Amino acid sequence: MMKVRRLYVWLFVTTLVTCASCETDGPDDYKNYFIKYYGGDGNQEAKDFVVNDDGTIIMLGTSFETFENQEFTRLYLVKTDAEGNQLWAKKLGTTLEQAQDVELITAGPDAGKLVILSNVKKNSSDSIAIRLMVVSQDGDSIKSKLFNQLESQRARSITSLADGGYYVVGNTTDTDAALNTDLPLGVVDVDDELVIKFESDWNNNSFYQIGRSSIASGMKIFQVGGEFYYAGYWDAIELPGGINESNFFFRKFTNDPSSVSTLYVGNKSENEFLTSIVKSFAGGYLAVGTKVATSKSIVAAKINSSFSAAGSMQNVLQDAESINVASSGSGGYWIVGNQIGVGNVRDIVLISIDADGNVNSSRAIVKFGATNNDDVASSVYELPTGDVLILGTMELVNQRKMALIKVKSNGSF
Amino acid sequence: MRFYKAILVGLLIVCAIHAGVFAQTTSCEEQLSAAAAEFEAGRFYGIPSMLKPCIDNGFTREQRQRAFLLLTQAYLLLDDPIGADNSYLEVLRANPEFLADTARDQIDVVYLSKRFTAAPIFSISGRLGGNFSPISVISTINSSGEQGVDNKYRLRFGWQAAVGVDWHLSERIAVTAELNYAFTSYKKDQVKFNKDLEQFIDKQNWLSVPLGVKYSFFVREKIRPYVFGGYAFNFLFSDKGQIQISKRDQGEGSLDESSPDLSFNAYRTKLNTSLFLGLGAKYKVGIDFLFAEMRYNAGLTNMVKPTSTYGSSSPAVEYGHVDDYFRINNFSISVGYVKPLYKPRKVKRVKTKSVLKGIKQQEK
Repeated sequence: MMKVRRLYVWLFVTTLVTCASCETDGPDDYKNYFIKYYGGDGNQEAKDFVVNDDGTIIMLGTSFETFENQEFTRLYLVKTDAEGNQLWAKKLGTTLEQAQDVELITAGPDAGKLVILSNVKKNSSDSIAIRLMVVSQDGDSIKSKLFNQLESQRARSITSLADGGYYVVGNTTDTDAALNTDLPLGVVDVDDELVIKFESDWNNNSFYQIGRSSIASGMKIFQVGGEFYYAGYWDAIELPGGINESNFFFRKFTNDPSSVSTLYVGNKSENEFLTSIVKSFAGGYLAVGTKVATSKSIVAAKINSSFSAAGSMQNVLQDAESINVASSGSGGYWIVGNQIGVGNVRDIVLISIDADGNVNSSRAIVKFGATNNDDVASSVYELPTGDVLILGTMELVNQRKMALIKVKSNGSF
Repeated sequence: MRFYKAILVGLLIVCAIHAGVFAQTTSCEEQLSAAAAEFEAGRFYGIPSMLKPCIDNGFTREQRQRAFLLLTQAYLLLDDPIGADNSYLEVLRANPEFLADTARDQIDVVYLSKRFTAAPIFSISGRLGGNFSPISVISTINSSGEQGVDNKYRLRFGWQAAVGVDWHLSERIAVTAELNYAFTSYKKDQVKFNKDLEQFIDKQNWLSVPLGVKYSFFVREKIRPYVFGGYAFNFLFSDKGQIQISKRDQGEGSLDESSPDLSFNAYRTKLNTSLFLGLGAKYKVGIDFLFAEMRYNAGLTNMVKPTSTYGSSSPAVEYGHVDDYFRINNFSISVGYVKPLYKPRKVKRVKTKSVLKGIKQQEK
């Protein structure tokens, strides 16, 4: 009897322990492990994103769809809440459109809305036109404008201006021979820089074509008071003893970007192509790009706050290509790029850069990607919490999808 | 020709052996009848020597039981308590579930029987069967940002084998422990990116130690139902998954791709616990039992690590596959064999109230 009584006590205790140990509620940890994919039919490739003050995120990409063996490309716009839950996804534009940039409009009648920059393939040839589209926070297209004044033009970035207008920079293959008279004999003039100013009335615009190089492109314009800081890459022979190879360039202008002194950063014998530049919270700038030699590598250079002096070009990561850079609340920067592996298969990398422009050795380089999949970065942004958002395109076996990744400032989930 | 001769010789040998056994059995039965006649005639002294040859080599289990019962009665009448005790222990060895009955047996044998038991202290068992594993989702985790992603868990069959031991606290109640190997599996279908279908087949190998209590009914019947329940420690030593993605775009056919078997060990909680309940029935075969039972294991542990399948290079990155947090349950049906380890012995506390009750009932 004693034994049976003990058994009942044991059963009672066991039942209590069991009920207490049953996991009916999950931990919220999974919210920290943040990789979200977005897309629909076809493939979707990410390009850029905007984080609103309320934490919502608007991502821009290109949707590639095939119907009856014909490929169509449309703009793909996704809005999510702060946890990455999709609020809506919309396709915009024509069927020959590729996303390039999205910016929050900061002034003018459309302040608070978004301006989308895209490159539109012309039907007749491989030529490209540039489209600006203003969309609401709900993703509805409000107005759009096509810039098609040259045979072919490609936009790289858009800057929303204080007067409600916009600067768009890029390049054009519709080169102006008169601008390229000092090219060495035998060097082919491939493209000229292109700077387009759209006025706030949305109808008027003016553009500048800047030559004297074989290859060149404007990459970004910042508005600083009444001045504009302009950065890009070109391969004009400006460095003493230099050859015809690409370097980063930095210019300051008020109205005309073509006739101003130029600050160069780069190696005299290697090609460096600027991919992105960001203004730090401390006032200076960090320019990042890809150095192309026998292999590719990510390079970076610091520019002072008045765009008048630059530090030396720093090697950041070997066998990698630069994509984008964001400033960090810590005074440093975040670079996203693609690490190039065997068979040119790429993985997304996140690199922390300190305030001096050097790789932050206390933080490991974070890599995302599967061994056999080609995964590429698009953009990066540090949230007010210090967490870092990375936008990219991930290959998921048989399709490509836009991917939003959130990591802590130490690079972990 | 030589072959047929060999068969013929073999058959003759088998027949001869069978005839010998039959003859011996028959003669021992005659010997037992003769001994019973001697007992009826009141000649008790010669009975042990009459039965000895067959006790040493010849009685069947049932005959052995009758022979030693006869000897027990004889020794009681001869006032030889040691002989009676030893003989009754042999009755219990021949039939561990033998119970003296006031209607059938002498009252002094009935009283003597109350001083003995052959009830097993331990039983050992083995079982084999099939199972399926329903999933209880704790938190839904989607790698796709879109809302309303359709997740469906589907059952897949597995199998299990176990060995166990029952510690009998009483005739009806036993504490049980088992070592159980189980192969379990489930399938998760997820529709995302408009109409794309991801099919995930997850396969687990478990070693479990269920500890529980068993309560038996109708403990004297040929078929004995029982219920049981308890707590199990389940060690997951291998988890493999396969992901198939069917890309189904409008206007296009389905583009299917499958992963190889991927190890999910890094994304799983190794030690899981569960609560189990079950019912079954034992069928007596000789002095052992065949049994069939069904049991339901309610998983108590989140089987997925807090990271789920996220990581810088993981199924979440390579295939877009992310596991929900879930508990795995299991329903199994098994058949098996129980061998009670009977131990004929004297009891410490003798209870004789039931004897009087039996006599009174008989008188009524």
